[in-house]
Amino acid sequence: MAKWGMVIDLDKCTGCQACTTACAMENNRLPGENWQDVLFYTEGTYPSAQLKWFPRPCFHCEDPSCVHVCPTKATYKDPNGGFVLIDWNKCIGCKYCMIACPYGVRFYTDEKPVVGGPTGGPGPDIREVFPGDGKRSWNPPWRAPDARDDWVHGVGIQPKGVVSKCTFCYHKVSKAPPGTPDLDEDDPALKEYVPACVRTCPPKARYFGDLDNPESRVSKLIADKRGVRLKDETGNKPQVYYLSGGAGPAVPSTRETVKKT
Amino acid sequence: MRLHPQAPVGFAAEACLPLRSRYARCDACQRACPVGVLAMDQEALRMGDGCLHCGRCAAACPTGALAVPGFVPQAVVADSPRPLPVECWKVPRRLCAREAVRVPCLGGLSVGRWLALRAAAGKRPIEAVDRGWCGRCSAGGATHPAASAVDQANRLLEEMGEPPQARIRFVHKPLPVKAMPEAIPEPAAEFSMGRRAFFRGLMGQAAEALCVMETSASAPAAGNREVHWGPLLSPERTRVVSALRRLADRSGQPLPASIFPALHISEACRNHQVCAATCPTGALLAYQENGATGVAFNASACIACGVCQRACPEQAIGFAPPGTVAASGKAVRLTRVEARECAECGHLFAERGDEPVCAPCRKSRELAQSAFQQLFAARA
Repeated sequence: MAKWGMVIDLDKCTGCQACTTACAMENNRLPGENWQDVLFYTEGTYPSAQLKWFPRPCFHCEDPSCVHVCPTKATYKDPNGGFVLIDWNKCIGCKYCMIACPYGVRFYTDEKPVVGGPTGGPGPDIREVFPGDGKRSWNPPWRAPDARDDWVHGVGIQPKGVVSKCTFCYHKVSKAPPGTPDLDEDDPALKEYVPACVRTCPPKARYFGDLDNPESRVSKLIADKRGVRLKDETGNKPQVYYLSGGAGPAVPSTRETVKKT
Repeated sequence: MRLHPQAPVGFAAEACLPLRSRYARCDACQRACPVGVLAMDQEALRMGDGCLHCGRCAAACPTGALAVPGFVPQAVVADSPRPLPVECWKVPRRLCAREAVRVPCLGGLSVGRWLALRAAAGKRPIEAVDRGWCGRCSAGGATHPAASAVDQANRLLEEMGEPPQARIRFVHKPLPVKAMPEAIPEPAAEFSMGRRAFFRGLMGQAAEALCVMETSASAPAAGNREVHWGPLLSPERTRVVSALRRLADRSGQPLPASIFPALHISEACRNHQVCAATCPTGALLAYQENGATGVAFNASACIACGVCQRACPEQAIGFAPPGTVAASGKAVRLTRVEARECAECGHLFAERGDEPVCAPCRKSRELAQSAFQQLFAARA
C-alpha cells in the first residue's frame, strides 16, 4: 500500500491561511481550533522587524511517539496508507499524546472555549450557540455535504472528551484508486481524493503523493530540492517534508529586507 | 461474555486491566490458574480446554473482570454457637454439616469474600474445612489453595483488633481419598438438590445469577468497538472495604490503615493529570474549583495497580508507605494548581513552575524556531 506524504514548499507559501480555512470547513472544526494551522511570529524590532510564518499540519510520522504512549491504544498507525489516526471510541482524553507529540499538532477542546466565552475573548462560547447532539462537542451550522461520522478513524464532528488531529483527510485519500503515485488537484479524475489543504492552496505550495513510489512527484521533489523533515533527532520520521531554497519566507517584502541589511 | 463455551467463567473485557491500559501489568488470573488454561495476548484473554471452574482466577482478579458461579454464599445464620464450616463442592453433601457454606473450591474465595463471610456470620467462628484432598485435587496443590487469602483476611482482622476467636481457622477433618470425585461438580449438579436444599439455595442462586449477569451482560460483543473506558469500581475492593466497615461499626474500632494505599505526588508534577485519566477505578480524579485545578485521591477505590505511577510523564506520582499520606476512606486533594493567563494565546492554563507561556504555545514556538533554524540557517 501507499505511504502517503506531503511536501510543503516554503518558498511558495504566502501565509494566506487558505489551507486552515479549507481544513476547518472540510473537518467541521471549532473556530480557532485548527488541525492545519499557520503559525505566525514577529522577530526583531522596528525598523528591521520580520513577520515569519510556518504552516503546520499533522506530520503523520513513520514512528509516531503519540502512538507509543497512548494508554488505551486509541491512537494508531494505519498500515494502509501510513495515516496516524485516533479511534474516538477508545480515546479517554488523557492528553498523553499531546505531551508526547514533539510537533504540537493534537488538540483537546473541552476545557475552555477557543473563541468567545469567559476566557476566549468577546462574544459567546460558540459551542453554546450551536450545542452538539448526543456526544458531539458542537453542531456546526454548515457541515460537509456528505455528513460523515467515522469515529474509528477520527473523522467527523469531534465528540466530547477526546483528542483530535489532522487525518490527512482520510475520508478522501483512502478512496483514491490503489497505485496512484500522486494526488494532484489539477487532475480532474483525482481531485476529489486530494486533501482539502492541498487542493485549496492558492500558490500550489503543497504536494501530496506516495512516498514509497520513487516515480511520484513528492519523491522527486524531496530528492531534487533536499526535502527536510523537522526535528529528525526525535526519531519520529515525519511524512511531511518541507522545501526551501534557503531564501526565507517567500514574500517579496521580506526578501528586500534581507537585501537591505 | 463467556471465556470458553464449556466453562462457566464470565469475563468483562472492559474491566480487565491489561486490556484497558497498556500501562497495566496484571497477570494475576494466569498465575492463579492451577491448570494454566488462561493466556493473555494484545487483544483478549483466552481460555483453553480443561477449566476446572474452581474460581481461583476470579478470586485473584483485582477488578472483578472474571466471574465464576458458586461463590456468593447463601444466607448465613448468624446466631448460633456452633462454628460455621466452609466446604468445597467435592465433599458430598451428606458428609458435611447442614448449615455449611459450600463453594466450588475454597481457593476461589477472595479476601473480600472471606471478610464478607466474617461480617455476615456475626460472632460465629468460621472454619475452613480441610478434607486432606487438596494435595490430590487438580485445583489444589502443595499448600491449601485458600491459605494466602485466609492469611490476608486474618491479618486485617488482627489489625482491626478483632478477638482471636473471630479469625478464620483451618480445621483438618480428613476424609478417605477414595470418596473424592475426579472433578468439581457442575453448578447444575450442585444446585439440583432435595426440596429443602433447593429452597435454601434459592436466595443464594438469585444473587449468583445477578453477579454473573453483571459481568456477562455488559461485556462488548466481539467486533463491537464501542468500548466504554470510564472508571470502574472494583467489586472486590468494595467488598473488602464494606465488610471491614461493617466489622468496624460493630466493634467501634477504626479501619486498619493498611487497607488504604497511600499516594504521594512530588514537586515534579506538571499538572498534566494523566494519572487521573488513566486510573482504571476512578480513585484518582481531576477536580476544578475557583480557577484552580488538581488531582484528588479516594483511597477506598484504589487497587494499587500502579498504572498512574507508570503513566506519569514526570514520574512524580508514587506510593507512600501505607498510613503516611491520605490514609482514610475519603477523597483527599493531592495537588492544587492555580490557573494563570498564557502570555501568548491569552488562555488560562494551570501548570506548576513559573513559565509565562502555556505548554502548547511553547511547543509551537519551539517547533517553528527549530524549523527556521534548520531551513534558513544559511541566511541567519
